[in-house]
Amino acid sequence: MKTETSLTNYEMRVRYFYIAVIVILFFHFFANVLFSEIGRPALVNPSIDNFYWVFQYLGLHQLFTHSVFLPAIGDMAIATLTLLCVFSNSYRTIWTVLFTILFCIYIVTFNTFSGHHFHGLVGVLFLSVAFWFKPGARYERVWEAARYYFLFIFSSAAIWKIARGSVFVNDQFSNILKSQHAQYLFQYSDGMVASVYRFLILNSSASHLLLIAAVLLQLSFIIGFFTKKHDHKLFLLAILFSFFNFFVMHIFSFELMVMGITLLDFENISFLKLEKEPVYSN
Amino acid sequence: MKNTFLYKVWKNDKLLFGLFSLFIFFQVYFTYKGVESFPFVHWGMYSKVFTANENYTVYTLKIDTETVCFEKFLDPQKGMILGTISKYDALKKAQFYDSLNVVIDSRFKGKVSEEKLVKLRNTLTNDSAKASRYPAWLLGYVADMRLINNSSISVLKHQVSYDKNARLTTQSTDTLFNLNEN
Repeated sequence: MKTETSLTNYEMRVRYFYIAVIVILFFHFFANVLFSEIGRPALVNPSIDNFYWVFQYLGLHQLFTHSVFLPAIGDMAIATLTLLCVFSNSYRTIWTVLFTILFCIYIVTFNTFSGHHFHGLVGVLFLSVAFWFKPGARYERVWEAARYYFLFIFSSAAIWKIARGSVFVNDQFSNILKSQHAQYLFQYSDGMVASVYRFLILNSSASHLLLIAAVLLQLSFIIGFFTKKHDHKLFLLAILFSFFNFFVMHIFSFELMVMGITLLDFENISFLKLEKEPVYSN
Repeated sequence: MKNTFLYKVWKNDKLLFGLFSLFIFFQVYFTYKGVESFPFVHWGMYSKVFTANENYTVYTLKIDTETVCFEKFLDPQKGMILGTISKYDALKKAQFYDSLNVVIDSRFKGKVSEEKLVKLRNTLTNDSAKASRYPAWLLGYVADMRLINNSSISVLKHQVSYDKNARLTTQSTDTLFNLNEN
């Protein structure tokens, strides 16, 4: 196990990770789901989740939504902390810890009011923990743990489908698509996308093949638990899965793919390298 | 065994090994219990067996008289709008009694004071008072996104079914709510 990190590799990970976070924040800004954009939602959805229960019992879900100034301050704080994590080498540990805490509050608040617990942002949360530590053995181990978690996400999805037997059901994907796209097909009954959905719903053998391909793709991430030789290929498979997920299922999973950078060895990818060594101050 | 990640962490960093072990323990524990407890979430990705339904529920959102196209929204906001409409629909169906009350009672009734139990219910569940504020919130939320001053909102609920060509036919339509701020 590699326990030393070159500063350049560390710095590149910091930059690519937090730049990805900035992109996600812009995406959420244009989607009108930041603290200051969701207003004062009326309905809550803690579901049966202990963390959400404690969070709501303490009133934290209303901290950045049900006041006059705090929503805007919360949004600005997340954006500022993200920039500080990228550009400020001094006190970076403090900024990264604060970022993780505030981003966690954002995820739980958003999920509490959105009527569904989305998991896509969990990757950002976990990976941000790695940057609590300065370059060195402990940081490298936490980064590697995040890599294993990313592999676990895909492997788990495949194993559950096999264990529950759903991958062997011929109509499974056709039935998923019926449920998933009813709203879309109701509003857009014509057009190319609707035709593709209808084709897959009607031809359960074709959609079943797609499901099997997806499960095999997810299952291939188990390789990553034994060797890092194929990490770049797994990274490409993760991106491929995201596109597949978006075009066939209409699910946006690119936020989760931020964790995919744990599969990249920045030192060996020339076009991703930094031109200058960063200067560190303690 | 000596080449495994966890063994190396154990040899070199006992604190980190303890934290990783705790994480794995809780991940396995909550998976075994069949519940999620953030951040220990379930990654099944549509792994349960899906059966075809006779009917599916879809919604139409109207601002004034104009029908809103859900596909024009980005994914998180579409989730926010449709997720909350669906939540309101489930509440209305249950006469605004949140099913979470049953779970709260089974876990806490008789074990905590009545005052705490009431606070738990008030903070964790929805009721008719919260639901009555929902249409106005949704109107404000959607109107803000469209940067126009709209005054009325209505949501229709449709039961639809697939025909042999995978086209949807509407079986029934009901008004979920209607709010006119004029």
